[in-house]
Amino acid sequence: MAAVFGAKRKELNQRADELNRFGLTMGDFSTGNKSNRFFLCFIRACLIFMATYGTVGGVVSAIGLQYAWPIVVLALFVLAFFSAFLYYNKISFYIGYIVVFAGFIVFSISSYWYINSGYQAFVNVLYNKYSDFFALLSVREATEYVTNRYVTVSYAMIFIGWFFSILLNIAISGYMNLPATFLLTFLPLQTVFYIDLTPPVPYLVMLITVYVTVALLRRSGHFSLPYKNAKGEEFDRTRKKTRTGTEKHIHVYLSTSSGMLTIAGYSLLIATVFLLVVSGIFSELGSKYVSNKVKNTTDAYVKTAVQEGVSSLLNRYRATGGLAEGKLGGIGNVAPDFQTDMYVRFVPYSTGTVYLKAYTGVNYENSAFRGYSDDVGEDVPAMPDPVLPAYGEYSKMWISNIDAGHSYYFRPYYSYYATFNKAKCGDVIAEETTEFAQRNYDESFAMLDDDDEINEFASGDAWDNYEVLFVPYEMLVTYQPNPNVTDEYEEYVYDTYLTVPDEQREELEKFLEEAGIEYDASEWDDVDVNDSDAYQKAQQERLDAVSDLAVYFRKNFEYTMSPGMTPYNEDVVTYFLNVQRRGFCAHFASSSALLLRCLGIPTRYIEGYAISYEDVMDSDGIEGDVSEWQISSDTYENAGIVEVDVTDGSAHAWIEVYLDGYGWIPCEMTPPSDDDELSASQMSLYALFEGLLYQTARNAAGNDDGDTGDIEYGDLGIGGGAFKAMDFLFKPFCWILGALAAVFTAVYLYRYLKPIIKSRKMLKNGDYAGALLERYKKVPRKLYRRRLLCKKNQTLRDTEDFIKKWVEDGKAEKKQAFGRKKRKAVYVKAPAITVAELGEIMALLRKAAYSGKTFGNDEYRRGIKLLRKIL
Amino acid sequence: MYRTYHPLYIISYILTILLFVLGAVFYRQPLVAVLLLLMVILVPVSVFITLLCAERLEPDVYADKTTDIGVTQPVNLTIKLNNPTVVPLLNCRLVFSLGNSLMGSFENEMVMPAEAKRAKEVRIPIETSMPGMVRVVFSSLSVTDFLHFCTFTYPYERIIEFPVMPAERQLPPLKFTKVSIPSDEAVSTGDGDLTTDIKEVREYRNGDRLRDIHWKISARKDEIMVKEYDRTKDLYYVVLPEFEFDFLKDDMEIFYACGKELLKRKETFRVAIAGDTGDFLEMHKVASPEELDTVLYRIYDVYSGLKTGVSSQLYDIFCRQYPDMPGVIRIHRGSIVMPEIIEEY
Repeated sequence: MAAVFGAKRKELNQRADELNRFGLTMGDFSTGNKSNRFFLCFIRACLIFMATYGTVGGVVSAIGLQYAWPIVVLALFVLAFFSAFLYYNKISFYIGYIVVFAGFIVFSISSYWYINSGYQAFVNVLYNKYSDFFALLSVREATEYVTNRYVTVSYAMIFIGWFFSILLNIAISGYMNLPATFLLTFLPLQTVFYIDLTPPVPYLVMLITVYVTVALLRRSGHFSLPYKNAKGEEFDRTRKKTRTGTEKHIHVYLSTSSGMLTIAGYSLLIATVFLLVVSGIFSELGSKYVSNKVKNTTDAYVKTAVQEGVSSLLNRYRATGGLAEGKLGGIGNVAPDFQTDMYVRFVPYSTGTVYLKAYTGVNYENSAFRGYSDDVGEDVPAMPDPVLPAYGEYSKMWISNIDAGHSYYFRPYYSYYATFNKAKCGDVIAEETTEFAQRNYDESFAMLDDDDEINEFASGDAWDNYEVLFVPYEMLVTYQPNPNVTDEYEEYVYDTYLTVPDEQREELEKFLEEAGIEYDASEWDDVDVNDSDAYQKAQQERLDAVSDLAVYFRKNFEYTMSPGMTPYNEDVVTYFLNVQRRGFCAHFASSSALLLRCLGIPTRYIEGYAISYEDVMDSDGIEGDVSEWQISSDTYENAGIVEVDVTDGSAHAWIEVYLDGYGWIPCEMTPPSDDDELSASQMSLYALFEGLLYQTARNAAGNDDGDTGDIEYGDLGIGGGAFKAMDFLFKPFCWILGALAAVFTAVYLYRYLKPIIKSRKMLKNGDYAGALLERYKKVPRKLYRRRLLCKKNQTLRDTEDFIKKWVEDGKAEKKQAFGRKKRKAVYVKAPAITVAELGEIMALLRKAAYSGKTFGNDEYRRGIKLLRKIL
Repeated sequence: MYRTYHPLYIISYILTILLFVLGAVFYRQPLVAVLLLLMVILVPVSVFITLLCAERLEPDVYADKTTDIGVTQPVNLTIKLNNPTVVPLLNCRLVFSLGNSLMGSFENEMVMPAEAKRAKEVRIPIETSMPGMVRVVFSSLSVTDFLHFCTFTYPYERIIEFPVMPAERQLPPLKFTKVSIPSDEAVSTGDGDLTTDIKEVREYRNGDRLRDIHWKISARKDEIMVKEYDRTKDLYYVVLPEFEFDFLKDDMEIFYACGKELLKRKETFRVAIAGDTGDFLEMHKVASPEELDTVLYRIYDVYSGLKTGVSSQLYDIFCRQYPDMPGVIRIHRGSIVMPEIIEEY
């Protein structure tokens, strides 16, 4: 209030100042029509109602919920009306808001259970729709305390509508703000648009009407209510200095009820016609499910939210950088970014998975496997990988660590030598490695005696780019005792890798019992490794137990990257095994490690990267001599060197099981993912853009689900992806552009043909004078368009004078456009008509104009002939 | 007509369209696509409809009275904008300047809607505090399209001016003086009823004009004789208003009151006002109230460049131009300065 009076006082002071400086001033501008304030509020109320009902009603109708629409419409209109009239004047503004909020609270409290039940009914129906859409097995269902949905949904709609009325009133009445209005109404609709449900057309018409009206009024101005001025001035005045230092007053008319109404009317018309035409012609826009990148990116979270609740989205783990380092607790979702973590070059040797091991988890506590070095330091007895048959084949693997965690070395199994060991071991190969290699593979490792040769063979930068020498051999057990295994090491293994937290042991044993997985460790304690049969059986028994567990997981557990978060104070493994029963690799590996330890099998938790054969197939080949990448008695047929782009999507966790006298062997405990599981290109926003703009073969393969909008495998190109993705818009755009072109052509033709048709008609009726005058009208208009005349409709005399002067001078200067800078004069050559002929045609025209009845056909023809000379 | 484009609005609209294109491409949502199409279509519709309808607008402007307007007496200026089309043009902009000829002017821009099929009238009350010629000069009418892409500006040249008369002021009883104007100029122009009677014939003195030589008597006497005319004795009231910006209002009121007083006495008087170049004075004869108003309007025009703190040099010019005219009635710094020597004839 004080501000209003302050503004008024300031205005009066400025006027007094103007009287002193200029000897005059201007009072309040007025149109004499101050009584339109009510009408202005009413139009606003209509807009707010349409926005509110369009949103709330649209969402509810889209999911097929029934409600008492007359009551809801009436209630929402009253609320919109009340909201809009808050801006009627200062008193209503300040007191009205208090009343609105008080009413809102009273309504909320008094109808709490109805509103609550209505909301729950809405959520239940919506979740069911989502469940149908995503084919989910389970869905959350909330309790509806009042079961009459017809009533409760109506209550909830009024409640939500009330809330929206307040917000939309601020957006529309206060600021006429389109972005705010759009977001407030458009976002709630996404709950149904997301699963391809479309609200009925009337709701969309209401919404689009509001958008168009608000946009036009906002840009046009004249929408404000003059409530802020004490006397209700109709114009808003601002004073400012111009660049030249003079004073400038800008008077803006605040609002026009008639203009607002007309704009709203036209907007309604546009929205209705447009929506009807669009939905009629382009029906696929509303019904066809086309590939949707945003949906692809967010599906996982939506599914999780539908099944686990929104709170499950809050605690997420982004697997950027690959390794979780054994930390499992509280992870609700894994969302890889699919950025490159490392590049790996090698000669493919297996159709199975190539594991690159990095992290070894030893002790499990507080929902995490603590790392190897944390626990036992550097004095762990050396234990290489199990022995292999003497195939005499060795391969080189080049690894470039981009972002895979620089604390670890990633090495394939059966690797013996890496360039980064050189610094540690001097310029020679580690003695034990050489001895081991020579003992087993004398023939092939003969070359290792030559330092130069081995350095040349396995060269590379230290740390981030390094090369590993390994045996290209798939995981299998040979039952051949490992001569490197020492008693000391085995003792260490049994001391370390059988530990299970005491508080969990009971739960784990119970689970094993329920799963029917048995293994009696004591039975195989005294097996002699030299007794090959017994030793083989002992190993087989141990591996069978591991296999049983893996099979049990596969049958009874589900692989997902969005398992939902583990509740606070719950152990990840216990919760996973007993409640959740779905998870990703870390869940399976950590649980398996603990379960197998319970059975008495030394097991450790491993993290690293798993390069699948699909990854190899999708990778690019690089040029090079295969023989430089492998030492082999034979050469691989059709072998080549590949460079695999390993992303954090390949980050993996598995376990290693210890076999007595043999060593550690890796075991895969994670069930394969379902087909529904999201592919790399579907999961990542980066991949989304990459897929659109830089479509790669890998993404294309990942998306190859038959969608019309997706690019087929091998369809590459920077621009192609984007254009292809927009193909569903091409047809409507072509239609619209075509329609516009047709309209313009029709208008032009109409304007061109109209005088001809009209004069023909007149000629038919014997009105030669009218026909000639009709054809003459073109002359001054054409001269005007050529900027030779100032006015479009000149008098006959003025036109005659101009043409006469034009003909006499032989040329005429084009008029300078109003307001434009002066340019060099441009002259137009005079038409090929003589002054005498000009006089004749003007005489004919005068006769036609003033004594048309005596005008004959010959005169008409002569007139047309002369007119053509001018034109 | 000329067009001006609004790059900021255009860029923001293009960005919005791009945003919707991104939304349509990535989200492929029907409502987004529909809105996108609508946005694209609205552009030509908005521009072309505005272009077609804007040139049919009929602006008009008039003041409720243009004469007998005193200071502080309000004048209502009415601006009428008739839109014969069915399309409401909400962004119409009339540019005009408003000012007092003696005091200066300021620019105005009035943004108002032209409602469909209606003639919108806006009444502007103008309050004055100073006499002078009030001028309202309209220069253009601009119409901006609905989406603010383009403004079409049409020339609308119209001037409305009305004089504001000085306020009435009661003068104290004064005895005005008359002055004679014995100048050659007066003789040559016949201004003032000059006599042609020869007063005497005398001997030639250095400086006499050739045309005054009496050739017959000179020939007869064999000596150059010169005619001496009986100079005019007509006397006038001459008013010299020396307007200064800081005393303008008082000077005007006193001048006007003085003139009225003289007319009331049925006296014809002269007013000396600055010429166009400012270095000479024009003498205006006033014999009726209409002539007084005419002189006043002339004053409104001539004295438009007065600046505060600058003293008037008119009396110096007057003395230079009319050296023998001590009886002039000076209006100086808000008061009447009477000559010391009063000659009453």
